[in-house]
Amino acid sequence: MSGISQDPGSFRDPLSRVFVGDGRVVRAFTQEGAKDITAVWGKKSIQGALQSGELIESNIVEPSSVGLSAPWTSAMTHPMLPFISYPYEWTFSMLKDAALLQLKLTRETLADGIGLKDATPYNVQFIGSRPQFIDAGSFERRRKGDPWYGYKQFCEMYLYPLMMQAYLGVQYQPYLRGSVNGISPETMRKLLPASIRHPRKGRLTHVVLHAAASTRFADSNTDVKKATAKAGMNAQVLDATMRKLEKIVQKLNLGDKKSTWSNYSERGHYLESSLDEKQKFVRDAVASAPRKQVWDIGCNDGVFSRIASAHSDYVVAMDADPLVVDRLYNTLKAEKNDKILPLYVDLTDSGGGVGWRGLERPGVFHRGHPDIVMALAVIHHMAITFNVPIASQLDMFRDLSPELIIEMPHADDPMVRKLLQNKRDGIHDDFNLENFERLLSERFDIKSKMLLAGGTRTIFHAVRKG
Amino acid sequence: MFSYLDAQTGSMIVTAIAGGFAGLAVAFKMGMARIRSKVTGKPMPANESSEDDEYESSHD
Repeated sequence: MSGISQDPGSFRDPLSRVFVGDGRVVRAFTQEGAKDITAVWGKKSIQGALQSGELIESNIVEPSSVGLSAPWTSAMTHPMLPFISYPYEWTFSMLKDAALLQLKLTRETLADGIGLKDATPYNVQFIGSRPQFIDAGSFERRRKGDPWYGYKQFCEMYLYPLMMQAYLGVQYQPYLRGSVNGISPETMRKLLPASIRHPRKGRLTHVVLHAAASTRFADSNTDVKKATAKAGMNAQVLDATMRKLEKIVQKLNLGDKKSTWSNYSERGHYLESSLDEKQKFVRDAVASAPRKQVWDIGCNDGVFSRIASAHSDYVVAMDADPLVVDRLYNTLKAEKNDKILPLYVDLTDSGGGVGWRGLERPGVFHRGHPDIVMALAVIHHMAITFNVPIASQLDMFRDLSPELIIEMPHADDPMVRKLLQNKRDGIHDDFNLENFERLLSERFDIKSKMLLAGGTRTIFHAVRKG
Repeated sequence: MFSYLDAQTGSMIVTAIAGGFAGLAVAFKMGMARIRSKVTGKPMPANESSEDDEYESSHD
């Protein structure tokens, strides 16, 4: 009996399905799907992408060898990725790099007579800072006259979100978190007005014309494939379209350079000695046991993620400031770091359960099992700014991870005072070290603790009870 | 077998137009075919090619 089960997020393409279990990922194909994959797999473009790592490592196996039978006539196995992240957790530069990878693979395979069925960023994953295309089932033999089936999806899931940030300075992540299908051409046309002072490259064709054409032909009963084929649609035209789109995407840039925490790395409020001893405490706690996965919540510039990375297989570094995470991503990318995955995650609003039956794209807590979580200089923001009770935060950490490194600023800490200054007196009286330690001890055994230099913060290494 | 995504006429015309000069001719022909079918009341003509010979060869 096989221990694999179908991934709830894999159902849209009737010709292939993803199964997960026994520490591996299996992609299965129906007879019809297998015809495509057999025809395209040996092509230069596919083999090149496999060698470069732009396409996920794939080994063709007999379906029976992985416990699958009819209707699956062909299968391949992939390595289990350390953490599955979603486009709404990626920063601008990450979504842009994923878009460029999508276009690159679509163009390269097009020249080999291969079509891509779709163009969704959910088919791209980041291994640390390296984007990788993971949906081997997307490739099919290109029929004469075939249009680019993924064009509309590319606009809705990649181009419009990037334009939203680059042209309007508006974050796209909440939109993608709320809509698994992205932003429609009609919506984007309403959101993005023309600007004479700031020309918005690509707007006229890919937004205005696209929206108008979508509306105009919405009731069309045309056999589009045959109509495009008859009109002479060919690979050269599509390649020119994609080449131009590539140029548009390359020129889109993140406008904002400053945010609340983007200068936090200077850590003006920390004494140098405090930072040193905090780093040593974290290093000792992480290194005290083998770690497959560490989560660094409130990672900022990644100083502590890097310390954790030296003593673990993989670090998921999260922060609620997309600009800070974007900066970290670009630094890690320049280093070709594939051990630290930077993500824009606000734990007070991380989303979850989107798409079909709320299971298609599960929330962040269902996608990873950290051996240890670091929450450094973060709980006072959740407790005071977002009113998440300390007990509730500790419940979350207990459910998430067997070990915890957590920093507790005392009631007289300058940052705590700053957060409290515009709050009604008395409503956060329970935010103090004594109460925190009592609540922590109810859920965890405190392995070690240290008062940081400056005397207003205490750091704990705690192990879950039971 | 078609790709599983719906190829929408509007989006397909835009991909042709966005492709530049060669694409404009494709977009024009698609538009003309639609107008012709509306004027004559006849459905859009089907492509006569058979199922088996319609795969593209590689360009390398």
